[in-house]
Amino acid sequence: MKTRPGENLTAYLFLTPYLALFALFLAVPTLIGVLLSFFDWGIVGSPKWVGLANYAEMIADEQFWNAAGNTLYFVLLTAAPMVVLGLGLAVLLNRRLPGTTLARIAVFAPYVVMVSVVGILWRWVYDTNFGVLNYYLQMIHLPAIAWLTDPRWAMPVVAITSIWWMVGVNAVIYLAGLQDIPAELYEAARIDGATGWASFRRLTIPLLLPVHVFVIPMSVIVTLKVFGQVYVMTNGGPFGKTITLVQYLYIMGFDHFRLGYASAIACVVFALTFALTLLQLKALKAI
Amino acid sequence: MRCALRQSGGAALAIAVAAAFGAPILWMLSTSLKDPGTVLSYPVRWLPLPPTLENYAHAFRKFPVAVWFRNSVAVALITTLLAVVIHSLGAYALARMRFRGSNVVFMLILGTLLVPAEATLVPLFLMLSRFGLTDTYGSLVLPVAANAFGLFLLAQFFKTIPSELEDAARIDGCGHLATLTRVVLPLSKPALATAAIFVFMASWNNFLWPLIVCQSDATRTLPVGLVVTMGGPGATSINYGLTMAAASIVTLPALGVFLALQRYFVQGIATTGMKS
Repeated sequence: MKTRPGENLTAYLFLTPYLALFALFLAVPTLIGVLLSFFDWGIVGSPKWVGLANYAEMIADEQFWNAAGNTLYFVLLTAAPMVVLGLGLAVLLNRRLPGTTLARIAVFAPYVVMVSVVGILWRWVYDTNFGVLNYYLQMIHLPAIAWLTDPRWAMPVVAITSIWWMVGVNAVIYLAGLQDIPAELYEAARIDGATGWASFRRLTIPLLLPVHVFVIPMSVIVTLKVFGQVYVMTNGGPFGKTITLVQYLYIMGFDHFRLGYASAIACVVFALTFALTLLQLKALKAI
Repeated sequence: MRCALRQSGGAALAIAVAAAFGAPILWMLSTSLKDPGTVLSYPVRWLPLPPTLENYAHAFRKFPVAVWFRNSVAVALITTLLAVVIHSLGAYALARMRFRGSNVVFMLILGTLLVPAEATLVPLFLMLSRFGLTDTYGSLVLPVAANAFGLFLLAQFFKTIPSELEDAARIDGCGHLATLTRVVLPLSKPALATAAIFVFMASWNNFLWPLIVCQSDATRTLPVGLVVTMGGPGATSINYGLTMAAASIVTLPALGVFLALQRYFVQGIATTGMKS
């Protein structure tokens, strides 16, 4: 279809509302953000060009590396189970058994809960003195643990909460993928002698590759950007053991008002996300 | 025989899973309905006997929960409406019109899907505070509506509509706008619903940005307000009866809507996974 006269104008008219939003609230801020990372600016006074000084400071900044390490630890603790458990739950939910509809609703329901509710609720569950978890542990003669204030346990329990919160999304996506696999393939496999675990490993998992390509990078991206539930549950404690990169960005930008430095952190988080995503896509597509 | 055992084993597992995932939410409700004096006590009781609405009354008395609720609902609704309209227009242009520069525009917008919201927090805040626009509904609505996700979802869907239908409309004398509103949109209800749900949820759940940009209760949204009821993230002694009541006030409507529409939620998420 050839371009009709006036089509250019109409097209841009249709696009203008979105492009205006896009320019003002996405494109321009992103560019400013990158630019800002080369300046030093508190909220008062004028910005001062410092070149790569912010990035140099970051390399030497112990707290930055602490936040980066915590974040990667969280990604490991959360994203991997989110994917594996998501798939496992999908397999369970795929069987037409009584109870699976209820299970499907229950597994996805946490995602409907707001991040700060998730944080407050689980802070209550993990409460050292009156939390329900410690109560049941003590009932079976296990010691009560100060989950959120023990440096060894704080991040793992935040991870468990996050898995509870988000695994439903992966489960539902995998479920759709499973339902797309024609039953004849399983029939054929059974005739060839492959059942149960073998057919899962050799048939199901490879056939789900397009879904893996979506679910795995998304899970990593989402966990890299973690902020809300950690902020509410531990506020980065104990002793900075759960501060994440985004929280560090928030502290630098809006507590200490070091806008240039915060922008540099944001750029690094962005670059990290981008690089990790590319790596995963390469690895997955190569399979 | 073995099959029946596996069946009942599977069903038992499903019920156990449902219980494990649902239990925390039930615990939240249970705590909220307990007499404030009995919240912090062992042994743990799941059933609040007698149930009382004292914590809820307290929450409403002490905090502007209704205002926060109004803000969250208003912001989410406005954002959703705005996004659906603007994204439909843009998606139609991208999907159906040939125009100069369409590839550039497409790539540009696609590129921003990779940029995380965190990268724009500081600059956006700076820009908005320069113009005194922080702490307004606009500062909450516009950045969320700018996210290109809905645009692409709709564009992909519009492409699947057979062009014969649009040609027929054109023969009947419809211009682009009429074709969009009379032919394309009515056929796009599932995609529109999915896009609307996503935008609504993104706006409703938004936490970090409102935390930064809302300075007064007039615009504060529920996720941030909840942290206020707790006494801030660094609080040492928290009134759990009160916070669980506030949390329930906030969660029950969303859960209700979810339970009513869960088929669409689940379908929407599943299809986006597949379409990518």
